[in-house]
Amino acid sequence: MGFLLQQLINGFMLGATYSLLAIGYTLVFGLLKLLNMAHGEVYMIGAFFGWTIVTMIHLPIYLALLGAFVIGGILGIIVEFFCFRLVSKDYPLASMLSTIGLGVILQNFALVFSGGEMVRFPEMLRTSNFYIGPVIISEVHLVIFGIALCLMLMLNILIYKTKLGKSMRAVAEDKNVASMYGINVNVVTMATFFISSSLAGITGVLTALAYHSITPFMGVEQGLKGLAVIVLGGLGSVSGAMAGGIILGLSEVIAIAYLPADFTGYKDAIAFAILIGILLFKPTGLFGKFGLEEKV
Amino acid sequence: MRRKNNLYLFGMVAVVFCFMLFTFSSISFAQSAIKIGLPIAITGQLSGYGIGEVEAAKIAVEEINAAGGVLGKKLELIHYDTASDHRQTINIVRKLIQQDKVTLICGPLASQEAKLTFPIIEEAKVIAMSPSSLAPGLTDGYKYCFRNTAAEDKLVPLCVEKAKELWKIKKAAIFQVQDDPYGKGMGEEFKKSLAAKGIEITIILPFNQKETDFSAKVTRVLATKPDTMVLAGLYNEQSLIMLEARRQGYEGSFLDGAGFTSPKIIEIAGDAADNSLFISTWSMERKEAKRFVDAFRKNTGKDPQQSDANTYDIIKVFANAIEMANSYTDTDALQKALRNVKNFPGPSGILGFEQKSGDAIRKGYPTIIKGKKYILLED
Repeated sequence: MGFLLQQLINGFMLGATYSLLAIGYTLVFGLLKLLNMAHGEVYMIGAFFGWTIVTMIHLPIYLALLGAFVIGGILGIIVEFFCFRLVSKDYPLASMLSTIGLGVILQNFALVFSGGEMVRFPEMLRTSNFYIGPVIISEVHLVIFGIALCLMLMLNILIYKTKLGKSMRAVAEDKNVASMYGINVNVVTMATFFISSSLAGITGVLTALAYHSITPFMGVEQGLKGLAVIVLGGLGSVSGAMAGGIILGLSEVIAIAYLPADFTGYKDAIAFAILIGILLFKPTGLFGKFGLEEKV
Repeated sequence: MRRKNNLYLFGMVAVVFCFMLFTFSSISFAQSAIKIGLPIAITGQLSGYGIGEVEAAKIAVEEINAAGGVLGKKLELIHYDTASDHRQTINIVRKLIQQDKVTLICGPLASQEAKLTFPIIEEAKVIAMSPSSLAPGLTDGYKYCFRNTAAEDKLVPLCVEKAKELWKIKKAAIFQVQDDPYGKGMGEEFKKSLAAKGIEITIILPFNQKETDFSAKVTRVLATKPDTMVLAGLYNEQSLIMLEARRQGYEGSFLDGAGFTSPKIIEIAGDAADNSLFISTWSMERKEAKRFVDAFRKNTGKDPQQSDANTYDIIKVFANAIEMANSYTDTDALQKALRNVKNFPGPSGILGFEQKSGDAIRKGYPTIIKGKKYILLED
C-alpha cells in the first residue's frame, strides 16, 4: 500500500509539471488555433534564467521564480510579435515554423552559455522530508506542488472571473465577432502569450528545483509531452490540460512501478498508447470541444 | 586586340600557377611537426571527462617539446571537439586520417565512439589509443587500436569484493543504461561478479541517457531493500539517481567503475555521492604522479582524474614508441614498440600492453567518494 501511495505521489508531481506546460500550449491554441512550438524552449530559458539569478547574482529563490515568470512572459510577447503578428494570417503554418525557428535560436543561446553540459541547480530549499506513514514527501515537492496549484487556481480566476479573462474567451471563440464588440484583439493576444509563456518560465525553475539539474535540451522532451497532454485533454481546454497532465504523469509512473523490470523502458510507449486509446473513444480529447464541425 | 587577350590569359594562368606553388610548398613546411589527432569532446555530456583529457594532452606535448621534441621534431596536437555526438566523432576521425594525415590518434574518449571508429582506424593502419573507453572486450583482436585503461571485466570483481569487505552487502540492485556500451557492459560485468560472489540481485532496471525523472524507478528499487546500488552508466544520470535515492531515504552505497571518475558527479550530486565505490587505476599518491599532478593543478585549478593521467601517458608513450621505432609513420613498427613497453614510468602506471588485445595492464586502487572528495582506500 505504501509503495502504491508513494508512486501516486511521484505521478502527481510529474503530472503537475506536465500540466503547467500544457496549459501554456492550450491557451495559445485556444486563441489562435495554432501551436507555439517555442514553448518548450521558453521553459528551458526560464530554468537557465532562474539559475543565473540564483548562482550568479545570488538572490533568493522566490526572486528567481518571479524573474523566470517575467522573462517567460517577455519571451512570449516576442514570439507573438515576430512569429504571429508580423506573419500574414493567410499562412498559418508559416507562423508555426517561425516558432520552431525561434525555439532553435533560444536553444542555441543556452547551448553556448552552458557548453552543452548539464548544469547543477543548487539546493534552494531545506531538504527535509515529511513522513506520513510509509510515504515520504519532501519539502521541495510540497513547495512545487503548492506553487503549481496556486498558479492553476489563479489562472482559473483570471479566465472566469475577470474582464480580461472574458475577453480572452471571447476572442478564442470568434475573433471577428469579439472585435466587433470592441475588444482589442491584439492586446488580448499579447496578454495570452504573456501568461502562457510566463507559466512556462516559472515551470522551468520549478523543474530545476525538483531535479537539481538543467540542460539546454530539457525543453525538447517536455515540449513533446506537453503537446501530447493537450491532445489528450482537449485542444484549447485549460481544465483538459490540467487533467491530461496528471493522467500522463500517473500513467508513466504506474508503468514504471508495475511492469516487469525489463519492460520499464516502454513507459513512454505505454503512456502514449493510453493517449491513443482515449482519443479513439473521444477524438476531441477529454474536455475538448473543437472538432472540425466547429469551423463551419 | 587578339594579342592583348592572350597576354591577359597568360598573366592569369601565371598568377594561378604561382599561387598553387605557394600553397603546395607551405603544406610541405607544415610536415615538420609530428601530428597527433585528438578527437575529444569538450562540450556535451562527455565534456566532464573530455575537458581534463585535452588539458592533460597539452601538458604532455608542452613538456616533450620543451625537452627538444621527438626525433628532432615538435609534437602538434590536432584537436577537434566531437561535441559528445558519436556520429560527429566518426567524421572527425575520418578527417584526421584522410585530411590531416595523422598516424597517431589519442582518443576517442568513450567506448561508444571507439566501438564505431576502431574499425575505420584499424583499416587505415593508424595507431589509436583511448584514455577512457572501458567497455569490456573493446580492443580484442585489434592490432593498431589500444587503450590506456584496464578492461573493466578485470576490475569489477575487485569492486564487488571490496564492497563485501566494507559493507557486508547481501543484496544489490542494478540500474543499467541501455544506449551506451560502456554502461551496458558494466551492468553485465556486475551481474556476473555479484552472482559469482553469492550476492542476491534484487532488481535490474534499465534506463536511457538524458532521462531526468528517476522518482518512480528509485521508489521501485528501494522497495526491494538493496544494500547497494550498481549505477551502470555515465555521470549525468548517475548523479541524478544518487540525488533521488538519497531524497527517498536510501542510506546504502553505490558501485560502478570509471563512470564515477568525473568530478562532475561530485559537483552535481554533492553529498549524495558519499559511499560511491569504484576501482580506480589511478592513484595521485604515487611519486611518479607528483610532477603531472602539480602541472595539472597549476593549469586547471583541479585535481587530475583517472582519464587525465591516462591521456598524459598516452602522449608520452607515443613519443617513446616513435623513438624506439625511429619513425612516426611506420605504424607496424609503432605497435610493436608499444607492445614492448614494460613498467612505463609515468603517472598512470602502465605496466605493459596485452598481446592479444590493445588493453593496458594496470593496477587497481579501490577508491571511494566521501565528503565531496575522492579517497583512496588502503589495499
